[in-house]
Amino acid sequence: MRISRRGFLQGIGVSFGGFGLMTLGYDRLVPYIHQPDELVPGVSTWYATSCRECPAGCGMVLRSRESRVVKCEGNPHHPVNRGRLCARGQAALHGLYDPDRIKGPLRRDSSGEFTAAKWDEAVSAVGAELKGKRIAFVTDLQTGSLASLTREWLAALGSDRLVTYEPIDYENIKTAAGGVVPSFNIAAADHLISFGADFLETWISPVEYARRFAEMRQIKNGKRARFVYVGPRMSMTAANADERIIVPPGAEAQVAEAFSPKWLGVAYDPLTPVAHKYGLDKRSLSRVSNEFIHAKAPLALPGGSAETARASMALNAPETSSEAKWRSPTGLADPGRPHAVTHISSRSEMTALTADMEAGKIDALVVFGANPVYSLPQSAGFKEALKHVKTVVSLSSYMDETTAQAHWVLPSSAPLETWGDYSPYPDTINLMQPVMGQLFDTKQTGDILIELAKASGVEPRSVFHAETFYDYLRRRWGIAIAPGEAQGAGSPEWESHVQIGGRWPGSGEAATPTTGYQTMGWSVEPIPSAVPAPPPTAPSDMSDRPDLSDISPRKGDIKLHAYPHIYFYDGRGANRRWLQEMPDPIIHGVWGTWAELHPRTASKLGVETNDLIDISRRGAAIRVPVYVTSGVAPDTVAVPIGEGHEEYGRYARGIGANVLPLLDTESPTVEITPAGESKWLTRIKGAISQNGRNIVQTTPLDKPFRREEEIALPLPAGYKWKDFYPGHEHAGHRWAMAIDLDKCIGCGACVTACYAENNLGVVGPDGIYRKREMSWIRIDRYVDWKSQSPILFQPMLCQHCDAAPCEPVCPVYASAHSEEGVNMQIYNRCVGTRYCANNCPYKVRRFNWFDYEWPSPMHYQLNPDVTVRSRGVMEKCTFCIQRIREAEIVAKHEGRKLKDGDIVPACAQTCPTGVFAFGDLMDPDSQVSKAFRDDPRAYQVLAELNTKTAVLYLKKIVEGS
Amino acid sequence: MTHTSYLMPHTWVRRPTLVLFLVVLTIAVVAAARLRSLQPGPEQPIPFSHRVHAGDKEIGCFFCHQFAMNSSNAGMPSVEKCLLCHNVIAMRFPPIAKIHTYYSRDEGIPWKRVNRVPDFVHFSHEPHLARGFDCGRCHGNVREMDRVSQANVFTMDFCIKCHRQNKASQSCFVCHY
Repeated sequence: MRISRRGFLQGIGVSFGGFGLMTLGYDRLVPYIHQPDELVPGVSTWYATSCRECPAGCGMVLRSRESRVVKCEGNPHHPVNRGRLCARGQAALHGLYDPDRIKGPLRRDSSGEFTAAKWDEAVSAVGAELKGKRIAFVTDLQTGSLASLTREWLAALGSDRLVTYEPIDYENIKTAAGGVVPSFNIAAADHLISFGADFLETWISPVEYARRFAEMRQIKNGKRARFVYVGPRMSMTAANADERIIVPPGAEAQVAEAFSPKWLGVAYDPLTPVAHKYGLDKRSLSRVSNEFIHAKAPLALPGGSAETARASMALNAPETSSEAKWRSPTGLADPGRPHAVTHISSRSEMTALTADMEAGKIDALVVFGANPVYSLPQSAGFKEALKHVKTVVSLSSYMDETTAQAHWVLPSSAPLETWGDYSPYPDTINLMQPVMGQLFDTKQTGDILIELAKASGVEPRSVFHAETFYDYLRRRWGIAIAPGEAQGAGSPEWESHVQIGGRWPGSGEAATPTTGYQTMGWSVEPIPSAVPAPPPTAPSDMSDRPDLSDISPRKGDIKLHAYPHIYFYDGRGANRRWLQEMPDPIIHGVWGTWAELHPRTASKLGVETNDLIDISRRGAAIRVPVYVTSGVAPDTVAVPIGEGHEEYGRYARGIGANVLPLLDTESPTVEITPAGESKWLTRIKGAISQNGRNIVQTTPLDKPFRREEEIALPLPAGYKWKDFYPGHEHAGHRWAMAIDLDKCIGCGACVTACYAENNLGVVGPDGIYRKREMSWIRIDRYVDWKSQSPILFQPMLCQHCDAAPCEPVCPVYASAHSEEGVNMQIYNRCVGTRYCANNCPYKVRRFNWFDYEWPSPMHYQLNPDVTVRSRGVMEKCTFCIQRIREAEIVAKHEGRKLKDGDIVPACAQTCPTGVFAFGDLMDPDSQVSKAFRDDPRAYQVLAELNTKTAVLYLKKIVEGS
Repeated sequence: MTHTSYLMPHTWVRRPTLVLFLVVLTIAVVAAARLRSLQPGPEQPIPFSHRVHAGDKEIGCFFCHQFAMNSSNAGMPSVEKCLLCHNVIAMRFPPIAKIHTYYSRDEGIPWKRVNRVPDFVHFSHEPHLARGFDCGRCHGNVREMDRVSQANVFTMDFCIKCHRQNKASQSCFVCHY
């Protein structure tokens, strides 16, 4: 046999490859040196801490596997969120595992670039530079021990310049409500009006308010509390209202003013000019006004401008109170329980600081958590003023815009890596603990401050009475928060606080929460005492009528409405790629910024959806694509806040545009010029209209609920004459889910939870453009502007059909029916024909076009109980089979049967309003069985296809037909 | 010009050498997988003998693999655990001195993994032991192995045979998710 040279070489190559295969193939299996006590490999450990993604302060528990946290969930005991989390809370893990985190101290060298430094030299150099200097400290909202330490630290260094800076500062509410931001008891209201407050998205404490909103909306005695939204755009919150009054930004104040009961019995109707001016229906306006005034427990939520907040807070206190304290008549807005956002510094403090920096009165600026270079308006001149400060020290974990201007970066650990406490309300104190070891060469903020103090000649023991922040925290808890408790190492009280995640009424202690720490000589943030709001007076003459001249847009003027985006908040969420990939609830936009324009305004400007426009004001300008929608007020341009970062990280940089530099006043007038070009706005490609298919069904509130179609049970009993194939026999269980559309607010927390739980790939803007998103559950939204509920949300996931269209078309049985009723997708069998996705009427199957990446250290987040799918494989919702398996094994181990509620899929676990019920259809007493059997609102999506879905939807309850 | 090229056999079919190599390679890979189970296992960084520990000294499996009853992972003994005995026993013996070296350097011992299932298989020790299976059912008689080798090739065939015999679930979702 002749062997050619080519053949010989090929043969050699193949043989060597073969040898390689034989010799390799042994992984390493490295044991611990010391086995940690609380750790069992393969078993989850849960650690309680506090969510610090926004000022709401939800309690969080983190699931840790082999010392790496893999999932955030709400702390079920916590009074703020009761076990639920929003999308941003779910994405807190991406703050910890951000691949662009600063990995160690940095100093700016003579060439202006950052070079790595050592902690010792960095701390001693910065400490020396701070000594005897005029120092200012800018931080995001901190309460508790870190805030107290910061004040003491500043005092020890001879300064008191602490600015608690948050771009979303609620100053409007503070001004209107006597210096505090009250807590709003939405659940007890029977008529709720939100004046531009997006309380289901970003406003104050969205998870808590979403839960209370769902409570409020429960039908009691055939009636339910009404919710009316007054605001400049169809936000997600507005979409959940019974009625919307869309007015230009700022005009909410006039509506609120016109709703005031002070006009009762006065021969002047303020509604007429308002209705006339904004083209509103006078009759519906007076109906809403009437209902609100005569409600038993009305509540107005103050959002929008300062004027709006004042007018709407006045609605909460129509009776002049003789008490010294301002109090709403029904007690629903409680200033006695102020929210932590009360402690945010006023805007003037930041302005004054900027002026002092400009004037060279500040030698050193320390920044932690805040990003004023990104979020302050261009006209504030903060970035320029920063150049006059000799030493700028950033304690940030991320290279954000402000940190990029610093001379020194002493990176703090992520909140999930630190000890600390945070107090959303005076009676609720969350305790934070490090949920895993330090990923990088970072330190806890408190420890950095203590070390800096030491380096500038302050003896920490004499000032802070502690050498480390942990000791400081322990001591402060022992004296201020839980006095009288043993606080020594391993004390059971302290352990229980750490375990429960803090201290609040009913958190496990018999003692009532103490407020005594204000008298203990500790520097704690004083709770601003509520001062009475000026009593609204009944008008004696017509001079008190609402002034309509000030806010009225001049012809051609366009008002800018910039709103904090549900997923990015003030911009801090932008480098979390789960949040970038989350479709906006209304626009469905991802990975970018857009400008919402009313069709009339758009046609005036001659632009259409996807056309680029320049929005400019006083030299600051942004270029964004247009999205034309009837949901926004005419002559208004609505732009979400949060994108357009120049720094921050790979997922944020260069995506979208930053609208904040334009905002030197609330809703300013802006210039809009079409840019003359188009850029496809990245959106997921769901249908806007239901096309008459009745996918989201509604039922009128005032008529008795009635089941119109028989439910085709996903059990053998559901098979009738029209079925060609017989049903499946199930072994013990038949998993099913019920989804209450009436409770769904569209927030997308379930979607992010699914990304986190099931290792879903993130495809990026290009992938979304090619319709390759990987979400197993999505929130469909359908728009019909003629309907009274113009926007309908629907969580859509694999329906786990009993007669599944995907199953018979799979040539390799990769898509099959499990003995417990779940529609399985077996990755190792799948060859990627995609026939199943093609045949799925619900379009819930996702195909892996690539091997998706988890840049280090993001791969630490991967759930070890779920396979990471590779290229060429179909995937879809599994009903969180790993949780079902785990619960089954635990039940078996404990020698009992599974109970209803043992298994909670990730989406159901996190839902702030409790939309999902999951359980066994073969257990007649389970919640889902009852829903399938009895619920009059039950229906199946696309029931005419006879797929016998195991996901049951409950119709949304709407007013009118 | 006639278009007959598509009727010709594809080029690689005409290359007997390459075909031969591919056949040999396939046989080699399969044989390697089989042989691995019969031959002594991989050479470990420390020549730990299961025959001595589990066989002669009759130390129970769960003394070292302590989590098997409660977790999916059986667990590997920590370096500290080796020293529980070897702080006293045979300290001078060179391989055991090596354990002390690892311990003093705060390093884990890089054992080579012998038994494994692919990533898309979720196996848990707990339910199998709870059902009363002996470790040797899958892992063979380690009491006679100096160098531990994989007693059974963990293909799906191996798993499903046993599941079938014992009337355990054969649903895909029991393992593959």
